[in-house]
Amino acid sequence: MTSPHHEFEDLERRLRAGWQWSEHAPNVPEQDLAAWVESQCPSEHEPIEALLASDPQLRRAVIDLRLSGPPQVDAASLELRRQIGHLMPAQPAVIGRIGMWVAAAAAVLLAFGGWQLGAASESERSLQQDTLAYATFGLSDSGSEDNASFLIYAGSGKEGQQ
Amino acid sequence: MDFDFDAVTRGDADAWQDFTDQTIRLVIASIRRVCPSGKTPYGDEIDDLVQAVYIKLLRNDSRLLRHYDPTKSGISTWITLIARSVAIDSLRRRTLDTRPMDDASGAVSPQEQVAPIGPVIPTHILTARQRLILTMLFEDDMDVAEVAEGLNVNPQTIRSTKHKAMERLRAYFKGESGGDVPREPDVQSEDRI
Repeated sequence: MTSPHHEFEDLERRLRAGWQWSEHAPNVPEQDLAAWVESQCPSEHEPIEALLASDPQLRRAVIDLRLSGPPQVDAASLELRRQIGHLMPAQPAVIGRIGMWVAAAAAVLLAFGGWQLGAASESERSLQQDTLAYATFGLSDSGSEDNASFLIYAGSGKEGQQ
Repeated sequence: MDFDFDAVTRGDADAWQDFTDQTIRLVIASIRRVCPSGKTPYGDEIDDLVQAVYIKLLRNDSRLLRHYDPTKSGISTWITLIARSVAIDSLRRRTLDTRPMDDASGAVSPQEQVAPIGPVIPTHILTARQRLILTMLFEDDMDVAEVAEGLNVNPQTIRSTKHKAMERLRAYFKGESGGDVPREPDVQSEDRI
């Protein structure tokens, strides 16, 4: 029978040999971690403590930051600064943005106009087809008033085309 | 640091340049803290990681930038944490990439990649604070005073929390092994307690 003291010592030795927690804690937003580092949130913050307990690299980084503060700055090459500066997607200038709206409106107008012209052309084509059908199949009954008016209409259309 | 943060979040190119000029040296230093050699063990140059930090800030329509809250933390702490997190993620990603094929049977948590092999203790046995304190004491080899400073609490709080945690673990292991504390972990059979 071992004493509780010896059991504790034995347990401590086993733990120092290594263990793992059964579950890995979910991530915590960097903003919350930063607040914890600066003691701006309650000291006992369960999600953060659970994350730090299960992530050794993050724990060391966060505790180091809490104890030592942000590191001394390092030099950055001009080339790197230029590359980082170009990461921001270019925003169009005010004039450019107005131009974009005008172009969009023009595109809509063009599309609408094109649709109208197409519809008109369709009705004209339909009339021409009716005329052709009438001329092909409907002229046998010569002498009728309809035929006469059609011939006048067709003749005037031909003149118009010429 | 002095720059127009609102303009940065609105996408103003000049404000962005100003922001990056003022933060880039801190970002580099933060990454070097995680990768002191100037290069990760897997070949990522520091410059690549610096770019990854700023890309992360701009990702999803600058979500991180827009959610920065100056009332919660200073910009230096916040950007340092983001830079270190990017560097750590890069190290982990490379570790996963270099895992042998026969290890790739399932998802692997960061904990599994870096923690020493040993018994698996159910997370619910201890509170989050107890887990953190035991981890800092036994895995990171910190002493009570260092843990107390790191957690910003009294050393006596660390001692009493450790004691309660050890009591719970002892009871758990007694129940598991029929009255004995755990034996040396059996690495070959990956015995999970």
